[in-house]
Amino acid sequence: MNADASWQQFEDRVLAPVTTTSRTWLLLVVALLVLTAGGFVAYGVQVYRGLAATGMGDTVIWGVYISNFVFFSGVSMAGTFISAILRLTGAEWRRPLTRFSELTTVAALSMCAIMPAVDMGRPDRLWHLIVYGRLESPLVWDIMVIPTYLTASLIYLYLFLIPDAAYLRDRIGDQVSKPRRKLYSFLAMGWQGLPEQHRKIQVAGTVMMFMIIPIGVATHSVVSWIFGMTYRSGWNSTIFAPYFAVGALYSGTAMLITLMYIFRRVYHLEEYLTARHFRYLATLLVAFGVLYLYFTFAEYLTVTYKLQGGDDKLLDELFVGRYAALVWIGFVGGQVLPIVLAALPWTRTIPILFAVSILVNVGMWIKRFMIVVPSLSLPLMPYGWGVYTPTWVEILITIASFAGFALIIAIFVKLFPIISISEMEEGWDHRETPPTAAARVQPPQVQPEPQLGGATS
Amino acid sequence: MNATVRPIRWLSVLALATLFALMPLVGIRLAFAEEQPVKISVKVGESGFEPGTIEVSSGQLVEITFIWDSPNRPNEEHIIVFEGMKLESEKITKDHPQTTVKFVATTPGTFGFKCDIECDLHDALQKGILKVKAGGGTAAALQPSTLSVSPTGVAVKAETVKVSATLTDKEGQPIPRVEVTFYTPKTFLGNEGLVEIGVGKTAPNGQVNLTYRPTTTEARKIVVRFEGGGVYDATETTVDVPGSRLFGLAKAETHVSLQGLRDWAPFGFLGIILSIWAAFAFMLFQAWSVRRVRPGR
Repeated sequence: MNADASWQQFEDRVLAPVTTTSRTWLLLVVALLVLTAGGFVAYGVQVYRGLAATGMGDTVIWGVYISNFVFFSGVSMAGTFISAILRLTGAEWRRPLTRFSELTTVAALSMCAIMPAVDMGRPDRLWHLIVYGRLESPLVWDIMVIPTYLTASLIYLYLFLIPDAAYLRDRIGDQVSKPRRKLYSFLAMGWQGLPEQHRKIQVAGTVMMFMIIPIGVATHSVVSWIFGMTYRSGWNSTIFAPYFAVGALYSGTAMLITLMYIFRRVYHLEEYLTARHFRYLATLLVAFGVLYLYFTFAEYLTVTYKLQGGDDKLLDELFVGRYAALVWIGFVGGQVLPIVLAALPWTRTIPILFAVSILVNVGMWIKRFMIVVPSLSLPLMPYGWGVYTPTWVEILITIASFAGFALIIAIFVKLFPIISISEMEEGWDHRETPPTAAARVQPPQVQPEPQLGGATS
Repeated sequence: MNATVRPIRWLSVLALATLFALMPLVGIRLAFAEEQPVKISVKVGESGFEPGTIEVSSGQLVEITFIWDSPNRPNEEHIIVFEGMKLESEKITKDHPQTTVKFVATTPGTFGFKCDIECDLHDALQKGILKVKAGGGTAAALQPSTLSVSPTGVAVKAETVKVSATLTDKEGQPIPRVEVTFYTPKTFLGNEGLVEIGVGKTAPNGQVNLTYRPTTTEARKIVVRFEGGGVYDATETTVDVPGSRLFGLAKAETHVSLQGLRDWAPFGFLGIILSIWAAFAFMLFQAWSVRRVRPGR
């Protein structure tokens, strides 16, 4: 192992959250637990009172739960996808990012998997869906692919965690409690860094890299098909699968930037999560954002041109009617403005990118809400528009789902290093020199990178 | 006395016998008089129906003959439907210029009739009114009709149920172009009733088909009902449909069709998912086998 001072400093930085428990972390976890508990209470009320406790009814049958479901599935996309793509292409700059990405995916998918069950009202209905569900139904496809993607992401996260678990077992095993020591020992699977062990993990990891990309794409396609396979204005589209996949990459990349910024600040990881990482992710964000804009344009142009069925009424409500404020806020604030800010070199600073990532996530949540609710509000018979306002039960459960997402990440970083030690060790010689104090991100053409040593990026 | 009475008696017997012998003829004559339809001809021209308004009395047997009359527009064609009466004519064209619609005007009121071919011009011009006045006479009798489903008329294939019914008159002749509805008995909130599962029009051979995908797989009854129309009385029949076998692939498609793909696609999907999970098991085994590696290998 590299024993120079900088490596020692890196170890200290990434192990600090694992070995010490700060008051801030404790307060955060308590706050998140309280919020999550609030969600459980709200869910208890929903089970007791039925779906009447929500704002959903016989017309608007899906609300914030399904919006959250689509949002979390989107957030999950970029994590593993980016990690797998960067690993497959051997991009050296990936090393500090991969664990973030994989963790984001697992945390988001865990919340995503819960949402349909919550939406059904009672837990036993999930069982009904499994037992009585028809294989032709996209809802059943969802129930199949979400656990598949979650399992794949867990295995993918775990495979590359094995050397780190062994490292924790050996390095801090005597400083932590016995259950944690046992946990590290179990997860390490007797890892000693032997060539044969490396080979086995490498084989499994490579297969998973190839598998997880189509699984991810398939998952987001299936999520889109619960809408796209339905004859409803606003949903009756053939491009929903790629539209959702690109939207997922866009919001997932934004979430990655958000988390990177927070951990960089809180755990002082500026030397490892550098301006270059933000710049590259910003480039990806712009690329996915522009692609998403293109899909948005293509989708609405064709619908507006044909005005089939109730499309005219729906578009009226979306663009100039009751949903117009949210639609335009989501479009300008979540798509146009973030893309401009992330694309222009003089606004591409780390704090602005953080703000951009928040804008994207808020905008994309609104976008998902706008996909789910207005189409259902549109009357299919000569009655008035469906009305939907989320109740306190739905709001509490939504807050709890975001708290649960954060809680999974908070607990994980308490148990494992947020930057993969083994991956950093492998690429230590190629790492970027520490950045200057200035957080400004320079455009790629003016930043020489001789220290990359020809690594693919 | 006896000599006087006997001829009278014999004459009386003869008169009665003659009367009895003639009664059927009188009856037939009377019945024939009742069944004589009111015949009306309507020209279907370029500017509409001529006459545009028809008046009949309720209970009358009515026979309306529509005659194609568009010499300047030889491509014109018309199908005349009577709104609220479930009556539809054959298509009339230059080559088939005449069709007759026969019905018993059972209900007094005003009914529209129009050309059913989708065309703005037709919608504007080809409109007529049938006025059925309340009449005091004896109503013409409706002819009985029969709905039958042959043993091969019910087929359960995978999750799809197909029912073929044939509507015929009392002489076994097919009744075409009338609406037949399919129902299945259901219980909802403790109330039993019929849920409509399909509706179709009979073909020229009197046949109407239902293709139905039940939401459950158990055996069921399907009620096939003709609610009457034209000169025919209502009729219905009930058929037993055996339980459909979910994914019953024993009866495989004989040819590759879109429906065949639809039947198989879920299995393909399931196969992919299972393969992925098998791969997951391999990955976990691979991780587990790390434990067994010893130094020196």
